[in-house]
Amino acid sequence: MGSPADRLAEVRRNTSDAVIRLAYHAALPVVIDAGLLNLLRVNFFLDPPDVLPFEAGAALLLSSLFREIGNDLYEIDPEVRNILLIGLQTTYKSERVRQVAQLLMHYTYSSPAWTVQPELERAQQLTALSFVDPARARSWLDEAQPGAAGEALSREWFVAMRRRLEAQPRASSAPDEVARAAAQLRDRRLEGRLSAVHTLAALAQLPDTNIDPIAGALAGLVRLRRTEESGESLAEDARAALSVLLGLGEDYADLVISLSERAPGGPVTAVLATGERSRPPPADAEVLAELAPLFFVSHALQALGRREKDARRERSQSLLQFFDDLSENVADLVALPTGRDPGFLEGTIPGGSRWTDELLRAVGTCQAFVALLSPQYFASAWCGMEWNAFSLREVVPRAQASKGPGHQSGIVAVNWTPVQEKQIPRVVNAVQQFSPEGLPDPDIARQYRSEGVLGLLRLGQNAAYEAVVWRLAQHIADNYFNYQVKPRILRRSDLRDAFQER
Amino acid sequence: MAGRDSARAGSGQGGRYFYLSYAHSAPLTGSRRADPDRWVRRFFLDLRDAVAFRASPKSGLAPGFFDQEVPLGSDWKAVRTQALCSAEVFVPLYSPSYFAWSLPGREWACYRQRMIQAGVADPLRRFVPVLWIPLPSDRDPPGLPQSLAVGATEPAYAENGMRALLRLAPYHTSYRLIVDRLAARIVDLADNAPLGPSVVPDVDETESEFSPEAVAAVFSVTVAAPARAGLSALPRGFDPACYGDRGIGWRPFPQEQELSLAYYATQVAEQLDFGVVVTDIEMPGHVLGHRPGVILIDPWFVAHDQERHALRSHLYGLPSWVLPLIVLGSPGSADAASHARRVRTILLEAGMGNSETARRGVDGVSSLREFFALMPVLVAEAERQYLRRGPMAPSTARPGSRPRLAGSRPAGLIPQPHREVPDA
Repeated sequence: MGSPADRLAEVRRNTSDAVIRLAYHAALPVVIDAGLLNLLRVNFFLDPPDVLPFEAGAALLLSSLFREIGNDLYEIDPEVRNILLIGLQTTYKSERVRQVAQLLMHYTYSSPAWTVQPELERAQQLTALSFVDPARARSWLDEAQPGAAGEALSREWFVAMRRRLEAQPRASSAPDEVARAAAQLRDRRLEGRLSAVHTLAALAQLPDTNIDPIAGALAGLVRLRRTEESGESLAEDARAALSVLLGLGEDYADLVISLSERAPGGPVTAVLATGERSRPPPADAEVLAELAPLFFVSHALQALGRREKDARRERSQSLLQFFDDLSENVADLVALPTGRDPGFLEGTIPGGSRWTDELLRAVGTCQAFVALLSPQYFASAWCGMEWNAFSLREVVPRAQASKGPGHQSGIVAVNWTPVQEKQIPRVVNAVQQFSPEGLPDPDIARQYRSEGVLGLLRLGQNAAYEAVVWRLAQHIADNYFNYQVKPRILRRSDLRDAFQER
Repeated sequence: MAGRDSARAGSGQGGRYFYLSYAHSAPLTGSRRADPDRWVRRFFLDLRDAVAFRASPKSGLAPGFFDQEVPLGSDWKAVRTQALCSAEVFVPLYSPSYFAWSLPGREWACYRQRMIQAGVADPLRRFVPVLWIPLPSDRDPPGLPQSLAVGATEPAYAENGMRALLRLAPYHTSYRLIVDRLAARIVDLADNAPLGPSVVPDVDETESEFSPEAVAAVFSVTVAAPARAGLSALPRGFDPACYGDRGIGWRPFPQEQELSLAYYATQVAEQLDFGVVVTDIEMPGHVLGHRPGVILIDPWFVAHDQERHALRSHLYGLPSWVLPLIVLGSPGSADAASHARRVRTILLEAGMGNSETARRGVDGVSSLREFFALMPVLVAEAERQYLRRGPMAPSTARPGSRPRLAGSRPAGLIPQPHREVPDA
């Protein structure tokens, strides 16, 4: 099943932020069925900014957030429910909470499916009431008696409902909850602190929360625990906090690096090593290199903001096309056997987080590092770390190489979008940038320099684009025939952002 | 769809101007692309047209042979051998893969043998090589200088190769010029010094001209289909014409295919540079899963409870480098469809539908054309899984070559094509 944070992250990855917002609404009832969920969608998700099709509801019910309890009814695990209700309050305020409660009341009265289950019907009505008017809900519970006229409700039902209403989350918003959990990080008991870390992790997965205070609180915990304990191993709560920080994406990479810097190869390695399921890398790097992808495409696509989904999709289409074309050409130029991948494109491994063992292995064994330069690229700490990791590897001429020696880095710097001279970090400037030479039409090289590969694709300059990709593939193949980049088993401690060293 | 008659006609009674020999390209990961050999096809059509334009009407020769034009369900090897026997000129598309892979080098050697046996004074004169993809500078294959001489006025040819001239618009003028010169050379040889057909050695028995030491990686093709002897136990609804003496003789499209489905699967894998082992799933002692492979499954195989249990136990716990392929024969009956559903359930329960490619195999194919479209994708994906997750042995091979199994090409393991014709 996984923690609430993991489940939210998974559903969010597989669907969209809008579906999570629909889940906020669906968290209010005790249980929900497809009809009620659709009613919520029709009421709140037919107009921009969040427009959801009918299928979105089905996807949500079948996701790991919900559990089927029979009779086509679904319920949410209480921990996740609380987090989602906080999301509802934060994003839509109390007015929306009231609207959902009224809708629930209305649906419960009019839905014949539920009148045959009086306990459920009453529970739904009472829940709805408790959101609209908590005092009235409580007094109804106090006054109504088990077995009283017209009420077919058992004593157990009353006990359960009272408990449920007491546990019902206050209508609080995410900033308040973050502050509460941050305070709880100073709890004396380990369980208290761990529970606060998990709450913060889950809150960070709500699409509309501000992540900065969460990251700050977690980083504070790690620093505090480190000064308290001088031993090599980090306490369990600090490890959990680091692991959450790593999952927050590359905006927080610098923070993670700064936290791990004082103990290279220490805590971050330990956290990552326990958090991933993967075959241990074989020790023989040479064998590995024979099977490895020949080129590695390093790009900053993930660096786009979370809300730019459509723009991202379009860009990733262009990136995929570029990757396929380059792969096809390189495979032919170096006669790769069937089944061996010519290239590695991060993000093509489904469900993988950024620093998988597979990615580290690819950076440590590929023969060419194709860096897709753009302003975002230079700003990305992850790309800087990839660059740095690759440049640690030694480049030697192949024995049979007929070309003379020369300085070779194995790095192929490609203009993905136009970049200005002053944006380029020192380490990137030290590498000669790729340029498509010797084409019959000199305009192509000029267009490439002024538009970048993405520009050529966008402008429909197919002839120029194809020619650039072909020259690039030839360049990669040439390097491959003449030089060998020695494989290296990379450790997480090799990860430093090369672009910050100006 | 071409039947047997057109297969015979396709093999051609008369000779041909040229035989196009090339290394097939393997589908890449995810196979987002259509036919990986589409540029070879384009080039063939251009060269064929240029030859036809220059050809003498009296020669009685068809312009060219290209293996993608062979009718799908015909006896591929026979058609190819016939073309090798009767082509006046051999046109190899030189590329790094041409010299690394087994099949092109064997075709090259066959044709050269034919020239020697026919007493041609200078066998290499009958080769008109094309530089398809540029070669590493340490490669110096036979006939390359002459080949480049064709494009002496077009320096872009030696630098980029013919495929790039075809692909990249700025080079199209050079491309057309060179195609025309190649056609002129082919027609000149064939019309002024005609050879006539003569015998060639068996392409499977010939050593490759370029990499005689090469040891092919091995791919397994496993067949789960009833044998003729077991048919009486089956419920009604199947077509007896589909089955042979053994399960591997299964022909799901008896009207369209001359040979067994396993034979065609073998051909596809060989084109992608594998040695192939074909086995019946029921063969005693047969171990699935120690090498990359594909299981071809006839839905009728599970019509019986006993076989259904057997299939389930065979498939249980198979590694990701063994991929299933359900083949629904024609015409599909309602019974066949319900058996297919059972097979799918068994496959999914065995965890064999976990990747996109595997799911395509589980969905299955229902025509020969679909079979030939999906098969190369399955072969490439199975090998890819094997390389990524399979057992790994240290190797001393040169970079870029695939870790290969020890031993020679397992020619002895490749069964002869199954020409089983059911009793009339």
